[in-house]
Amino acid sequence: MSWHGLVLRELRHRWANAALAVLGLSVGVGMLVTLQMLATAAERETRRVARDMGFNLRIIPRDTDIGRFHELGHSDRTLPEEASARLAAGAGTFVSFNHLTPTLERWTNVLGKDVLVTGLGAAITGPGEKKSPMGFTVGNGNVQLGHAVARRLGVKAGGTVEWMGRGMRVEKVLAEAGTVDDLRAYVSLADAQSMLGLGGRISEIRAIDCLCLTADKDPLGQLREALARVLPEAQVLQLRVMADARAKQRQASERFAALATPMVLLVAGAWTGVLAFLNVRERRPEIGVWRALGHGAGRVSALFLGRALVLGVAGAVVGAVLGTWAGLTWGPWMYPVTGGVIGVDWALMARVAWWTPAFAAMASLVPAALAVAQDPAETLRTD
Amino acid sequence: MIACTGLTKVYRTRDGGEAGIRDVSMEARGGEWVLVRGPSGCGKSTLLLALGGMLRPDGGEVRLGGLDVYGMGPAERARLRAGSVGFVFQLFHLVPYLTVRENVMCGALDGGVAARGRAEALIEELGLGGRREALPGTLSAGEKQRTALARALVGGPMVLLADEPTGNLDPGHSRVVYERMARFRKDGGAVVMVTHGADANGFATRIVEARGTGAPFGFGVAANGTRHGGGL
Repeated sequence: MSWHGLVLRELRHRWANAALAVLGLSVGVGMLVTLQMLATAAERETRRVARDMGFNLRIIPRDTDIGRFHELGHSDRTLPEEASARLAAGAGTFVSFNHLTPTLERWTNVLGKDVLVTGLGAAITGPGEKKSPMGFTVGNGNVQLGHAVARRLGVKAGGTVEWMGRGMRVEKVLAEAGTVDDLRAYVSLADAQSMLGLGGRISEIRAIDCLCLTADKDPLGQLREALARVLPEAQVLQLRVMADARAKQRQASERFAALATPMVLLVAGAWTGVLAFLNVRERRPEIGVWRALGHGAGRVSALFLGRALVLGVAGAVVGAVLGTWAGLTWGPWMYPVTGGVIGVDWALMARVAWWTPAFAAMASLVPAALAVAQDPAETLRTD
Repeated sequence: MIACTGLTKVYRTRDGGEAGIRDVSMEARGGEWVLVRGPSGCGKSTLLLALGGMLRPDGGEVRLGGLDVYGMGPAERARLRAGSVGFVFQLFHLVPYLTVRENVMCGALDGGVAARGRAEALIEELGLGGRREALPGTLSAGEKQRTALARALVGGPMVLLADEPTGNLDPGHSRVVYERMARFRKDGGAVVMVTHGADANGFATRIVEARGTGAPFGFGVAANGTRHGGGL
């Protein structure tokens, strides 16, 4: 009988041990698959939530007076519009920055009211990135009004407003924010440049910090160094609290996965190893007989390692199915914003299919070595 | 055919004494049935396992078909064992998840057509024809030992080493086993059997008494640690 035939027959005979081993491996694999899916989902959710929180980097002209900047809430100097494209083309830019959005801001007076006109250009994301640009865009001829501005002007969404000599369609009235955003009027960058007489100019490039380093790692120093290489006429300001919160949230999910993964591997490995050891102990007379019949150490090892491989394959299949099911079930509940896009991770499935049998074989290595090393005479002697 | 000279294997027992064999010399030629009789614990099983190349002795030499069994490497010794030695144990030691037919085939490493033919013939000859697809757990003690005997014979060994082969059988079943072993002997094989009983005396061509403390021709190390020299 072939060795794999012997392995399968033995598994069927000692089905309880085999079932417990598959159970242990399945639980381990299932937990790892679920953890991995949820860690990916957590990162996606973090990005999305951070995106919704807004930009955390402001790249402004180097000659901006910071006192004046904070007084106005924007730079009173300008950069050429092509600066954002130049920054995007710089080597390594997207390691540090992302979602580069050219912006032009100025306080104006509309019908006797102070309004912060904010012109938004198209955001630029890293090459090959699928994620959609954060924030929003406003079409030419349209305006999105802050809550206070709309109230002061007495306009609603869908209406029109005569503004700086142009008729603008009110695309949307934004919800009350309780910040200076209530005094904003979002228009396209082109409209803002035209209205403000600043053609081809921007006052800043808004961006998101990609480093995700907490404050103690000096992310600002690294960001400034990166910016100086590509755009020396600009300086970068970081909204530290927001950036720090994002980095901490992301690191927390990474740390959880980093801690949980070895624990699961340790428990599953110990479980598999102990069951393999019990199997070897129960089969001592059988091992003695195989050796007495002239079967070498290689064949005896093959019986035990082959058994581990079969159990590993079964554990991988059951665990992958259970883990994926748990990820698909709990993911949308834990991460309601982005949970809808959680799907089967086929690359993870491929890794599981490859690594689980190898892991089971490694966990059974010591018991298999014991099986080969044990003195068959000890089990066969009756005197 | 098989011989040992000055064979010694001593090991510690759990109660702190010593057991095993010391300075044993014996020979079994083709066509001989050597019956080694002695009390429990005198080292009979140790002798048998050492003769079969399963237990490296502390001293002495074992020769099988003229070859120095412990002078060769483990792989070569395993091949020699597979081709020349058949073992029968008191506790049968059948592989529990294989059928009678498959257990018998375990004794034939080549597993070819000829081996299958020999296995079928032995199964029929030992009255196991109706049980060939049964698992050991469903067999009687007699059926188990006949299966073990068929497994020992299927490879066409030169020597049959039997350790209390009928220790768990009734007289009727014991006789079936002995008769098949006698036929093996008559066909030119050598049988070395250890037992503490006398029911195989009629089949043996030579009987050796292995005695413990105070035995003039005994061998072994008594459980209390008293050593005895001598040989068979």
